[in-house]
Amino acid sequence: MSTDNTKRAVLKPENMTIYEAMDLQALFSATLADFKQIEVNLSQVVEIDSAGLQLMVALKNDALEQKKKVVFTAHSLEVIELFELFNMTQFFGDPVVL
Amino acid sequence: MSNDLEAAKQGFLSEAGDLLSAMEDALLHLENSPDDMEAINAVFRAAHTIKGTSGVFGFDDVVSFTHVAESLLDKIRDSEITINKEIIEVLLRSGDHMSALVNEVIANDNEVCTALLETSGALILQLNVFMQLTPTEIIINESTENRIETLEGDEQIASNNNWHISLRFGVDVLKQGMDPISFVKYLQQIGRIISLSVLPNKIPSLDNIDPEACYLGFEISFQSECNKEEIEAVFEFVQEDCDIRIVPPHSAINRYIELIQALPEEDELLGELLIKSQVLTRNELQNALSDQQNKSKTGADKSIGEILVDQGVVAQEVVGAAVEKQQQVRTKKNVESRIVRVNSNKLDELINMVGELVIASASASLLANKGNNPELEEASGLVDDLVDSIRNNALSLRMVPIGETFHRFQRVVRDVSGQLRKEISLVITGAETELDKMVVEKIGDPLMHLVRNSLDHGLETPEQRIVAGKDAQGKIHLNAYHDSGSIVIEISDDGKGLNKVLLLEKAIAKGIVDAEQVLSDDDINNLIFHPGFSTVESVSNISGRGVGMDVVKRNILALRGSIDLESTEGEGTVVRIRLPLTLAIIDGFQVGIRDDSYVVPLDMVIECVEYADFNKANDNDKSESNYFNLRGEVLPLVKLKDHFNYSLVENEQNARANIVVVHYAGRKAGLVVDQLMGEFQTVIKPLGKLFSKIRGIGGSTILGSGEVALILDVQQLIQDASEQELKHVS
Repeated sequence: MSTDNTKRAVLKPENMTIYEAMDLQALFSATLADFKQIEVNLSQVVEIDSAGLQLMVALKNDALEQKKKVVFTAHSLEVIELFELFNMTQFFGDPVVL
Repeated sequence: MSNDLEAAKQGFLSEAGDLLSAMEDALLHLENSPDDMEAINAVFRAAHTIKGTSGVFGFDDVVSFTHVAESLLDKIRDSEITINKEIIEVLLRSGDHMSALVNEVIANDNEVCTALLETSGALILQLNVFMQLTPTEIIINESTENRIETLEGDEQIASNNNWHISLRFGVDVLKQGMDPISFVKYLQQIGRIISLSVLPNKIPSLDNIDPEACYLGFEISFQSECNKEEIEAVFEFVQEDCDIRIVPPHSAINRYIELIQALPEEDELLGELLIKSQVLTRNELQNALSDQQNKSKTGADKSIGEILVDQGVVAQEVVGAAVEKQQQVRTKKNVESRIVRVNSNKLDELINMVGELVIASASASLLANKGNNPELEEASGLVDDLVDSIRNNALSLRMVPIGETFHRFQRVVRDVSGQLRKEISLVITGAETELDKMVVEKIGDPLMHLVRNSLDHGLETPEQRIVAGKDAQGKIHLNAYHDSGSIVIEISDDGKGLNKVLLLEKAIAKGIVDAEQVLSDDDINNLIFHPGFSTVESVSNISGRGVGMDVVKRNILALRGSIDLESTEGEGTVVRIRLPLTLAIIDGFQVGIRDDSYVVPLDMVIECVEYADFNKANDNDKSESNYFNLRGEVLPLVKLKDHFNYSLVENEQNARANIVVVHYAGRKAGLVVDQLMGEFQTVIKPLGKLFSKIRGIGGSTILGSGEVALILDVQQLIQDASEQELKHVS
């Protein structure tokens, strides 16, 4: 599939731990290759660890580099907690809705 | 002002109320166990959150006062100051004052009257005495700028004590089953993370990333009592793979410079982070870096504390604190979201509707039963069941545990016993007993009166108690439990009890009773509920004005409850309040007299028996007998037909009669009725004032058929039965 500039992808990953990291990496990089706008809905994320966080950072960085848009939305409580622990809310710059 | 802001303020008001009452509980707890860190933390949290939220709203007067209390609490938390009775006393008053301030700023739009500001000043003085500060450092009546400066001054000192930890985790950390998250969380347990920055720049792009490797680095500014070894021990398991540098507090700048240069990231980036962690100022960093280049040692002996005086850093600090506070508010909201606050009017409306629903469904099921259509009957039976559970659920929404009301008295008991120089402890049991919210609200004042009475008149001074051979510490016991559809609240003390002789003398002197009248002990005790009765010679400011007990009684009666008092001279007094569980809908038992229906609250019904003696009694001319032999027990009877003055009708003896055995407050009686009609959900409708004189009727309700049934006031009927019994005996 070639890059479609108008299409927008919505991902809704479940847990984002080291156990899912391989799959997530594949999913993220495939999606980033095909879409210009990506929304990652985090509402289903019950478990997240540093591996998951790193992938989020990598996705965000890559998107910035390629001038594509990635937004993380609907942060679950667990994600918010991790962001707060690591002071990362500002890094992603997405509005965190309670 | 926008509605949102107004709503947020109201939210703050109620949150502050909750926090302050938690703080009060914790402080009272600390009085007995001053080492309880959990309680100290609770007090600190309350003060901290109130300060934070007030800051967000811009309530400067609240912030400046709460800040002083918080600083003291912080010192207590860090074990620099040991908490004692005097500190608790002042903190309790500070809590009261915070509550007053918060109410004031919200009611008056951030204006605070001078009287409150004076109290602020006085309390701050006292708080500062504990912190051994000189009066010049006190923040009162100074301009806003000055206030902030002082505030900043304190933050400086805090920053001075920070450790700085630089972490670069090894690539294999995650694969080994360890996660940086847990280390950071553990650090939180052994101290306070002042600031934390993640270094994400080592994370490669998605295509090059090893999803199971760790690329994270952290710069952490950390406050803790631990020594270097203890902090290092946190990272014991990962030490080999990781680059961990720990810089102790009060280090000179060049330690940081070394750190910056030793780590792989660019100098500028790390410098930025250190500024962000408020360890270094931008100027100082630049100077230091250039100094370093010039091989000059001027920066070497400067301590961080001096550097932090720089204005830029201070401004950032204030911003940082604000962010931290917002996060706290958010965390709290997440917890609260499990509870929905509902306007009580909406609940009342719901209950009203459920009441109407009960009546309507009764009427529907009546028609269904007449209609001879089994399917319809079945359907209506199902509806009845559902309505029944809706009713129970709706009513339980209004039920709240009485514990909160009880716990308020901890403070009252503490304060009053201090004033009266008595040693009194409050014991609370049955705090989880639930009752209607409205009843809880209305019971507060009467309870307060009774507790104060016990404190003032019931309990003796320690000396008197020792002479009487009792423990020097008096005891007040608040207890609540459910009993046959009512809730019973007991206020008991182990004090001197009522002096019956004195009571009787007083009553005779005031003309309440005649000198010749013979009164039982109970009657004498209950004289104190008579209007205008007080046995205390001197009126204290706590109680004894003689306006109390009759008002208490009136309030309780207005709630369809009852109050009685038991007292043994020298041993103590028990006041027992009985209240109906709910004021809206009850399970009733419907009985009939001739063509009229009456309802008895089902909870009070024990059993029904046939009035077998009825016809026989007539033959033997014993119809006047007001007793019944219930399996060898004497049961006083209330003949409702006589009680409500039904006129005699011929041929009546053919009718069967039944006895409904009811109990209330431990006494039993039998109600003689014509028919038993079964259970029935009863929506209580109040009777008009016109009928208030009729004895034995508590209210009315509407039957499914649309007819009105009267609800019997069992308490009154039983009382009448026992009175008649007494008359009969004498």
